[in-house]
This record gives sequence, C-alpha cells and structure tokens, in this order.
Amino acid sequence: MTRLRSIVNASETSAADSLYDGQSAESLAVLLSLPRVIIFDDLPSTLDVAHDLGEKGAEAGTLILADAQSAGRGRMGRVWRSDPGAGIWLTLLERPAGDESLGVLALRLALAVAPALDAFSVDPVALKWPNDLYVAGRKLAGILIEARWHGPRLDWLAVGAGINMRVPDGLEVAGLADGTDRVSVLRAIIPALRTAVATRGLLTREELRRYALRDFAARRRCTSPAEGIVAGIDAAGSLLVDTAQGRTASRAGSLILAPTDTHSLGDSA
Amino acid sequence: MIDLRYVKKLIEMIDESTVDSIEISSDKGMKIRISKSPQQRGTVQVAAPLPVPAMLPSAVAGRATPGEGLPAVTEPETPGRAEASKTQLLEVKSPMVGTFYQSPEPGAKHYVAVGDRVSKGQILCIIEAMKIMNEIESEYAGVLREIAVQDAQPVEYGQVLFRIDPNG
Repeated sequence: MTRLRSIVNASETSAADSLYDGQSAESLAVLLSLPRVIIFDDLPSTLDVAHDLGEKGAEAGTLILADAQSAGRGRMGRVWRSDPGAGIWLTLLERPAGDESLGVLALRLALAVAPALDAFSVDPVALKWPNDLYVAGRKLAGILIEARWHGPRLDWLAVGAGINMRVPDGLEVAGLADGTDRVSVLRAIIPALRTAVATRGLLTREELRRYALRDFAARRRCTSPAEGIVAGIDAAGSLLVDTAQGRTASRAGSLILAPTDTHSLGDSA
Repeated sequence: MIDLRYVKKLIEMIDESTVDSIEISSDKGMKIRISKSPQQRGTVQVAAPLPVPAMLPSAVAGRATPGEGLPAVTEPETPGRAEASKTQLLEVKSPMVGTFYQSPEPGAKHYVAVGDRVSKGQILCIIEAMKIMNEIESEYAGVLREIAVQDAQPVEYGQVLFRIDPNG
C-alpha cells in the first residue's frame, strides 16, 4: 500500500475548493456531524489518504470522499472500479479499542449499512458473508477495513466503502435507484457506520436475527470455505456450514456458492 | 479497608482494555497493582528453530559462550563483556488470531526481508482476521533477523512473527 504523502498534501490544498454534489467539505461535516470531511475530485484510493491522516493524528470520524478513484481496492489486491460520479467512494477513519468487537466488525458494519441503503434501493439489500451487500443477486456495495497496529495497540481503523450508484458499463453489479443523490445516502449510512464501530462485544441475538433475515447465502449449497449447505453465522461472526461430517464454523476464507445456486460475481470486498 | 467490588471492577476494566498493568496508590497508604500478561493466557507459542545460530536470543542461548556449530567469539569473556555481547533479539508478536501475509497483495513485493534494517513504525506484515486487513507496525528499530511465520499461514494470539536485533 503505497503512501501518497505528496499527493495528499497537494490535494488537501486543492480539496478546499472541491464540491461533492454541490456541497462543500465544511457543510458536509456539519450535515454529517463529523469533525472533518475532505473531498477529492480524483485520487488513487481514499484508504491511502486515511492512513496518511491517521499517522498525522487525525480525529476519529474524519471522512475522505472521492468523486473518482484510479486505484480503488478490494480484498487481496482486487480492484474496485470507481468511475467519476458513479458511486460513493469513501473512507472513514476511526479509533476504537482493539478488543473482541473487531472480530465481528466487518459483519456489523454491513448489517448497519444494509437497512440504511434499503430506502434508496428498488429491491431489499441482502448480505453475503461476511460483509458484501447485494441487491437482486448482484453486488451493490463492499466494505474493506484496514487496521493499523503498533505492537499490541490498535492505532486506527480505515473503513473503506464503495457503493455503486449506477451500474458501470460491462460490470454485472447492482446500483441504487435512479435519481438517488449521494449526500442523502451519506446522511443515512455515516451514522450507521459510526454506531457500528462504537458498538462493543460480539453479535447480539438481535443482530443475528437481523443478519439471518438478509442472509443471501442461507440454505444454499457452497463449495468454500467448506462444502455443504450454508446454515448461517454465529455470535463470533463465523460462517456455519452443514457438511457431510457435521457443522463447521469458518473464520477465514471466502464464501463461494455452488454454481447452480449463484447469480453473483463470487467473493470480493 | 479495600472495597473488593472496586478491585473487581478494576480487574474487569483492565481485562477489557489494552492496558497491561495499573498501579493505584491512595493517600491513606493503600496500594493496588493489577497486571495481565498476554503470555499467560494459554496461547500457542511456536518454537521455530532460528536460522541464524549466532543470533540466538540470550534466553535461548543461556550463556554467551560459543556453542557447537556457533561462530567463535574472539573477545575474551568478562562478565561485563558477556552481558554486552549477548544479542538480545526483540520479538514482534501477533496481536490477534488470523492469517499472516508478507505483502499487501498476492505477488506484490514483501514488506520486509531478513537482513533489512527496519525502523520503528514501519509496516512489517498484514494479518487478515475476519476480513480486517491488520497492518502490523514494528515497535522497534534494528535489523530483521528472522521471519518466524510462512506467508499465508494462520497465526495465534501472541505468536512470534519477527525477531529484530536492535544493535544490528
């Protein structure tokens, strides 16, 4: 992950004049109740900026927005296509405690964002373990979390999210309803993300119930991380699969549905 | 008189926090010290053989005398010299259970290699845990003497990931 100090510095100066759907960074900060919002017209990745600002001591709740990203990223080097104005490309910097809550944060964030996005989606938003958001079998949004640790201490979290507003050419993904404006979506999802980061402990019974209602993969056949039928998740966020040898709980790997049962692009973040 | 509920609350707070120990003194002479040691939590410690015998940490080497197969130490050993010549390697341990990666993405250049000089705050590796990519910074400056885990292997809480020679 290349650090782009010089680019950040240069862009922060020019970013002062950038608008995001007509809103200045200052007015967005007020609207979203955040200490600071930084807007970029175009940059490689909002995650890189968040890490740079994290090193410089930026406050929790600092939000980086970009109209376009040239190197938006998903898990393990996958590219997240971030065309100009085609979606919300953001990173939220947070500084929570490095406790057991982190183990379920990826799921909790998706679980928080899904209902916030329902209002802007033609069909209900579904979840695919651990934290992909789907609409009508196609990927709508992804969340990638990068944490920085100094020894045993968590310094900061960079919560990156990509939400497709419209479907880019040539990609089988989902978008939000026509006419949706990005600022309204931000007003819905930012408080949801921040509440999820601040919530401590493992998943509650109520969170498990809400996850089950949106579970894209439940009762479907999968080939990874184990071969069997997806049974759901547990309080620690593990994926439960009923296999020929019994029930397994997986905390690593990707959920890949059997070909006859999937209409999706498979795993990505 | 010590309020046991107060002590219990303190223990719970320490347990849930990243603080390792706390000591509180009152003006009436009461003193409470609570500490936790991650090593005592029954975690798995991997005793990987060290590839560079000359750089055995003192805890393993026991004495700083040259052993079989070790390069000869030319300086005469006085107690003071022996203390100074001991190469105390500092260990970077995993703060979580997860999967260890040496590079930011498959096929990319590794963050560090054995023999590299590393600085405090430099990213050494990534541990992926429940879809969070955890970048682990070095707590120490020095020369990297060992990478104790293979790429893409699972790691346990407290497992040694790297050994760094602060005097290298």
